[in-house]
Amino acid sequence: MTSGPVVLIEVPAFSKQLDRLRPELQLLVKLALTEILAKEGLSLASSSWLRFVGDGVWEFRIGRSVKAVYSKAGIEEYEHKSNLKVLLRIFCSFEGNRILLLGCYDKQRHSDGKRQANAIRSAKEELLTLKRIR
Amino acid sequence: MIAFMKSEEYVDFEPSMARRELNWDENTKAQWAQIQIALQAKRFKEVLALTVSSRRTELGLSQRELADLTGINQRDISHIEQGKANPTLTTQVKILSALGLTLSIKAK
Repeated sequence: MTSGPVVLIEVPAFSKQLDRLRPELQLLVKLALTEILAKEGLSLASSSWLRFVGDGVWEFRIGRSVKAVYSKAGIEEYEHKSNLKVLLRIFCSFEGNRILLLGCYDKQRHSDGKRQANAIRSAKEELLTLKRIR
Repeated sequence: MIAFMKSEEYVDFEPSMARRELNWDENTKAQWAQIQIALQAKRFKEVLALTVSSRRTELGLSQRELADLTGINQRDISHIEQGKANPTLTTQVKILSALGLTLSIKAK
């Protein structure tokens, strides 16, 4: 990432998919994107949080427990009662100070490999579409 | 670099998320309010860490010397400078005072 504030940008597919998630999951996505992905960027690639899936697309993996998300966001002392287990996947691309949000889904609800493959393919198509309109 | 179209279809996440938040249930809204407080506390610790560390260095003091000046354990000062500690208000004032600084509060 280059210096300067990071801007997160949604493509229409991501917007629709995020709209469909439950509010408590939207909350976690917001926290994870703004406090983890936007702050740490590609340095997350050395951890299980971020994985390259090819063609310029990365998979941001919000997994494990809610507590793990809070801890990674630096608010581990925040007292919460939720025992929610989460398995969210966000597909994105890094362009300078911009992080392009290409797609997301709840892997806990859709755990089959076909859904994962489709989500990755759709994210790659979204990025290709964006590149074509240069 | 991708040249982003000035299309309304590609939107900034922050305002788009603010729109979603309007539809959240009361429990989720309350949870987010609590998280925001925790985030503010985290940012305060980060600012305190950076302020103490940079000012101490500027004054040419070691952590040990600052510890001697304030009567606060050097390990605690190290933790504060790493943003890992939750120092009491008294501890903060002692350290900041020794560094020639004051703590102030301002309205948002």
